[in-house]
Amino acid sequence: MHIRIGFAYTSNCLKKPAFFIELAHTSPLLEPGRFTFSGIDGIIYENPQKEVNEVRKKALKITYFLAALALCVTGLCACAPKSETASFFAMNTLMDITVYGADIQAAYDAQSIVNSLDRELSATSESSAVYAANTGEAARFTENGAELLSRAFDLCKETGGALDITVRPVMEAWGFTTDEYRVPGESELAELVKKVDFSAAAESFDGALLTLPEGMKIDLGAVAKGYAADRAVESLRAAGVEHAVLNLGGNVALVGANTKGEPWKVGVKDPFGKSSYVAVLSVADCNVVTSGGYERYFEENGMTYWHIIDPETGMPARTGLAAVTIVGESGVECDAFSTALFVMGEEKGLEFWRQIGGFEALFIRDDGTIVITEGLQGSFESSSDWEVAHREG
Amino acid sequence: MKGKAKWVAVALAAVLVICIVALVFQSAKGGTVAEISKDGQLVCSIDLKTAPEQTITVGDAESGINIIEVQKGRIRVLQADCKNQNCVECGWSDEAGGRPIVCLPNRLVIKITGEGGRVDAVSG
Repeated sequence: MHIRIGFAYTSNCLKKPAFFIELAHTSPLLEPGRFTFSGIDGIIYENPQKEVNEVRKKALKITYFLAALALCVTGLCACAPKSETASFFAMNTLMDITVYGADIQAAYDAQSIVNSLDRELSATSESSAVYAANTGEAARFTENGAELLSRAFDLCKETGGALDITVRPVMEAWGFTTDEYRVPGESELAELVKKVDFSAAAESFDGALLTLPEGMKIDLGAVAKGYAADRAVESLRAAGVEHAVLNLGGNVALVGANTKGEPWKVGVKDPFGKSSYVAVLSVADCNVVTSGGYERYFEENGMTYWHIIDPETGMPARTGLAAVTIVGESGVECDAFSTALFVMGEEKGLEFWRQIGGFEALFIRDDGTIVITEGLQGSFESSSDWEVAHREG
Repeated sequence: MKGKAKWVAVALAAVLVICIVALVFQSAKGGTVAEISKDGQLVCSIDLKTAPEQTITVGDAESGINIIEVQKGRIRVLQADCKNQNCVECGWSDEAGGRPIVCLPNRLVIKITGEGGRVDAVSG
């Protein structure tokens, strides 16, 4: 007789440990069937090896099944990319920095860069360099602040003055800086517009120190968020973040593609407020910045006055557009161009795009129809009527 | 084989429970939950799918008052004592990832969280 003792698969294996006594059916004395011997439960099989193999097979199947299920569960969890958001108020707006599959600390570090830029560039905070410059003092800028300032002067020049960071006295007259809105008189505006001159301001900047001519004031509101986005993105990349969405008060900056490797979906806000957005752009590694009259405005005697001022006239820019969105690599450029192209209008704006290039634009006209530049074809979806503007033509 | 079956059943049940929990957690994350916060502090979060119609008053005379309305899966600021009224003009919000409703003077933010949104961000 040949006796083997192996792993128990007996009926009560869950209750008490029992040995599976596997008896080779070599002796005619032992009949196949169940038996109990000295408290040990066992089965005698006709073909023990076959039974053992079968049990092993079944056990293996169950193990595979459980493993597969476990994989499914972990797979499901993995499908939802782990994202964390730093949410804060800066530059008079709400900002969100969301990092995917990365340490939230990277977002906090980017946040502190934005915060320190805000402290330096705010036109309303009494301790800021811009505030000091606006009171006529010689204001010293940090390296970042100075870089933005010279970049801003260049962009004013590049846009032919459609963007002018010295338009602040006019903004003040309209009450856009205090929310105490009023319509200034014609002669008042004519006087104020005389002092709007970025080139005179640029001449009073030596690369670190800005001493504005008398009565002149600057406002970096049209470029600061874009520049902050550039610095924040730079900091995120340096920290090894591969996927991030920054929404600095409607200025969207994207790091990489999403965690599935697909482009991010960025909605373009509906300037008429009928829905959340009128178009969706599928884009990665870029900035999407929108300027529109809906952002800040007031109504008086049936007229709507918004905060995007034509530096030439001192009046809200009315060019048949409700909003302009710029898509491009540089946040500060996108920010500046979205304001400038709103002021220029569709025709001049498209001409500017053809000359300068390096960015794409989306114009939403007052009637709700949309014009996109040809580079956005293929990454643009909208249920509104739209057409494409080409480089040639 | 009865015992083995039971053991397998127990294991399967455990796995099933984990699956269900994971799925419920997922759909909750992907749902339309509005988070109302003031001064960076979460005041309340409301599941817009299941919440009854209601108005919620946030803040006081000193910090500013916003009256928020919840209705049929959407949320808005109905009334506010702020100067610029931007939050009221924002209108209804109903999609995760969309533009949050912000009342800067009163430091109030209404954000819809979750993975349920069709966009990752809104520019504007």
